[in-house]
Order: sequence, then structure tokens, then C-alpha cells
Amino acid sequence: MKKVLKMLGAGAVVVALVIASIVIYRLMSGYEPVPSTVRGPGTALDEPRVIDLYFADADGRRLALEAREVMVQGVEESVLQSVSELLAGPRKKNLSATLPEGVGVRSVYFRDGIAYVDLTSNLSSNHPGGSWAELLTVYSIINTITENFAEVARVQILIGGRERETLAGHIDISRPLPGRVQLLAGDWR
Amino acid sequence: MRHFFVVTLLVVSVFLSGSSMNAWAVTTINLENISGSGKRAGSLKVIDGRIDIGSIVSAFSLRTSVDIMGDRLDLVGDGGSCRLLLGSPLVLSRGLFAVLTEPFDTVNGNMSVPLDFLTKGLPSVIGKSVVFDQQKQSLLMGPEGSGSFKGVSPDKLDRYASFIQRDQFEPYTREESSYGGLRVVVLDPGHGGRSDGARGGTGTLEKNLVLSVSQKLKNMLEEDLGVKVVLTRTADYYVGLKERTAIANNNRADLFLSIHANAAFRKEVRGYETYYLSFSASDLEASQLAQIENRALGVEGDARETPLLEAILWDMAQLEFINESGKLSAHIQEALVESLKGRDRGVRQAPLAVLMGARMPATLVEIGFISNPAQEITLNRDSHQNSIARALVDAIVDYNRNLIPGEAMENRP
Ligand SMILES: [Zn+2]
Repeated sequence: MKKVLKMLGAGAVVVALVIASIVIYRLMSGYEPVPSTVRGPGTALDEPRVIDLYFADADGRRLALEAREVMVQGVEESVLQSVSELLAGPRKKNLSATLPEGVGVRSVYFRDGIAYVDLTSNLSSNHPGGSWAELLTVYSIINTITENFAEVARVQILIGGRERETLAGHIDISRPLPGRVQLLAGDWR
Repeated sequence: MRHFFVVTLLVVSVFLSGSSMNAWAVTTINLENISGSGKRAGSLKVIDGRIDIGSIVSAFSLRTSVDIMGDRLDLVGDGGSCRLLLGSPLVLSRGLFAVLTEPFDTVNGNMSVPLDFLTKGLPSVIGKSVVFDQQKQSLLMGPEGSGSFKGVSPDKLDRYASFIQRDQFEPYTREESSYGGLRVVVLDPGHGGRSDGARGGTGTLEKNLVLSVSQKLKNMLEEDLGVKVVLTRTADYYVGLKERTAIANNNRADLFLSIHANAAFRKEVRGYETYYLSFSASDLEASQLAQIENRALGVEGDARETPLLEAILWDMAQLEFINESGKLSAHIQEALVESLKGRDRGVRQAPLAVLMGARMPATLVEIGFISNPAQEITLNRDSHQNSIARALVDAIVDYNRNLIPGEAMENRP
């Protein structure tokens, strides 16, 4: 029995070491920065296209659309432009913004059906917090991309060039998320 | 050393099965060789859903070795070896890790592993594939050389932080339930330390508010229901999201309730919201595979990639309890709206990081918008905080009353 007790005690030590090594490993394995989108030379001219931006309704219970014309060319450029429009906020008076002011898009990267959208780190620091505000932010970005660009199945939000667990402590953004179009109808289940 | 260890194991298990046998469900699993005659090749002792390590060692004639610290057990067989760490759910073999549903541990003095060790760790030791036939309670073993280890490389391990973190672990004692099937409730006051959470117009911080409400709720639950209540934090310090889930899992909580205060982009927004975890269609699809593997201690997969599978199992831990989580959320939302006469913003589902991996019914409640000036004022009132806590106690009582008897226990991992 003594042995068992000793084993339990030592177990805690080794588990602490395991945790430490995981932390060290995490620190050592650097994040691969997302390459910024650069328009290739010799590509065709921009084309105007109407896209639906996903903001919140005045009541704050569902997502609501605002149509806007953007000049599009390729998935990455188009996503970048759409998110920039989203960041600028709604023009319709009865709609509410879903992102804090002053946030910018660092870069957009598209691969294997996933759009990686890298936003400036003030998205986290300026965010009001709360599950509700965070849900709005996350799904207005994701829906705006997945519902306008069929090529994109899921969206991974990055902040300040890094993968984050959450924006402000609630919604998991550590992996790519699919859109939820039913949020337009206020269906949150 | 080796012999001493095996003897210790056997003595410990014999001693315990004599003393506390009646409180535990003891069954056996028969062993059968697929390639051979199919006749019984021994049996394994299963105590309350876990397998006694001693019975594995003797049934498969394994050699064991324990390191100098006494907490690392190597099992060596004809097919290879694997290593277990006391208190850890990790199995190490050939530089790769697999994650068990529960740690290798001394549960009530009995050194044991969860059932999934048989399909996750054992094949690499005996060199045979292993399939568990749940109906026959038989372990079917494939031909020599068919066993392999399906592990993940160490860099994938951070996904399992919450399985590994053991600081708050309290040894599992199966006491009689204190309040109709409820023994342990884990309350999670949101944010803390560097994470302030939402901030009200007059400077109210979510982290302070929710800690105050959680402490009131803890007192009420302990006094009124006599259940054990564990807080994931008891003061203003930072606790990681996975760590919070780990505290609930390690305490074998029957309920996990994360308490937050809400915020919106518009000041006018006010009311109550209750959340439980959502799963996307692709999550569910992937989890079907994982569940087959997990529940039936599955078929030795060929094409299936274990790293992916393990990740899914972790992400999907809450899926098993999702109906209960939905019911609990509904009771909480109803209690808040009715007793506090607030605006009902509904029960919602979302991919909430703190609920992922919780192996019990789990809910996140938003007790009001501190971004709304009027609600910020009320939330600061001691009497209002007491009313919120009281409503949450009522919700837990209602939820518990409406459970089909035995349902909560059956759903335990
Ligand atoms: Zn919060």
C-alpha cells in the first residue's frame, strides 16, 4: 500500500512535467504566418458583384442582411473586400454593427475549401465581450464569407496572425467553422 | 522489482475486492483467439467499468517494469510494449501517444485502466488486433502480428490539456447521492485575472460579478441540497478554458454550470440567455465513427486515422450529454425569466469553448447584459444576485426532478 501512495505522489510530479513539456513544446513550435494576399500580375480586371453582408438586426436577436456592391477578383481578394465592408459597419439605420471599431484585415488566405481570415489584434482588445456579442462577431464574418462564396465551406478566424482559442473567452475559433444561415431567422439552435 | 510490482498489484486487488466488492459492479470479459480454436483463453476482471491491471498482466503473461519513481508502468508482451503513467490518460508506444477516456489510476485502491485500453494500448503489447464484442462480453483477438499502435505525435497533445491537467483532482469515491442522483456540481465563474470579461458603462467587471453570484449559488446548493460544490476559481485569477472543463471532469461532476454576464454592441439589448454546445453537420458525421470506436471499443480500424479520431473524441465528449444539457438549459432559462421578470432571449446553441470536452450535462448561463445601463445597476445589487442564485437552485432542482430515475447515472462515462 505504501508503494501505491508513493506512486500517487510521484504521479503528480510526472504529470506536472508532462504539462510543462507540452507548454515548452507549444512555445517552441512557432506559428506559421499566413501569407498575405498579393494580387498576381496580369490578372483580369475587377468585376462588380453584389454580396450580402451579415449584420445584426436592431433588436439584437438575429442576423440581418445588407446588400453591397464590391469589386471582386478571386476568392482571397473577394473575401478580403467583403470582410472590409463588414468592418466598416452597416449603412442601414436599423442594423447593428457586429465588430468593434478600428479593426482591420491583415490578410486572407484560401486553401482546401477553408478561408483563413487574419484580423488585427484589437478585435480582441476592443471587443465588448459576452457570448452574445461574440456570437454575432464570429457568425457575421463566417456567414458573410460562406454564404457569398460557394468555394468556401468553412472559415478559420485568426487574430494578429495567430490561431486563438476564442475572441473574448466564449466561442471556439481554434478550428474552421461552417456558416449558420438559420441565424437570419433568429434560429440559434 | 518486476515480480514485486506484479505481486503488489495482485495483493492490492484481492484485498480490495474483499473489502468493498458489494459497492462495485464486478464483471468479467472472456478472451477468445480469432485465429485459433476460438476457445476461451482466460478472462479479465472488470470493476465498475475499469479493468484491473493485474488481471491484464496475468491473462496475457505480460512482463512489467516500473521506473525508479514508481509511477511509470511498462507493459511488455510478445508484440511490443507500452507505457502508462499513473494519473494520466496517456498510453505511450513507439514515441506516439493514445489518449484513454480515463486515466490509468488507483481508483478506490484498485490500479486499473478504462476499457478502451484494450483496443488502444493492448494491441501494441500482444501483437494482435483486438475487437470487443459487447454483447458477448468477449475480447476477440486477431492473428499474430496484426496488432498495431494508433497513436498521435506529441505535438497533437495540447488538444488534451484538459484530460491531462490534474491539479484539482480529488480521488473518486462513489458515495450515495446527496440529492436525488446529484453528488457534485461544478460552478464556473467566467473569466478572472487578466480576463476581465465584459465591462459595464460604470465600470462593472463581469469577472467580479459572476464570482459573487457563483459563491452565493455554491452556499445555497450546499445548504439546501447538501451536494458537493466545486468552484473552478475562488478569487480573481486566470483559469484556462480547458482547465475549467478538466476540473469538472476530474471531480466527476454531475453538472457543469458556467456563469457569465453578457454584452452587446447596442446598449439597448438586455435580458437572459442560456447556452449549450452546438455541433456542426461535419462534427456529427465524424463523431459517428468515433462513437462506434469508443462505445464498442471498436473494430481495429485500417483506413481510419487515429490522430483525427482522438481529436474528435475529445471534441465530441459533450455530445453524449447533449440532450441533458439542453434540458438543463431550458430549466435555467425558464427560472431566470419567470422569477426575475426579465426579457427572454432564449436558449441557444453555440460552439462554446468552455463546454467542449465536458463529460456531464453542461450549460453556460448569461445572467444579464452589463452593457445595458439599467441591467448593470441591478446586477450589482446584492439582493438581485441572491435572486439569480435562487433561480438557478430552482432550475437545478426542477431539472433533477424531471430526470428519468437512473438516467443521470447511466449516462456517466
Ligand atoms: Zn463571459
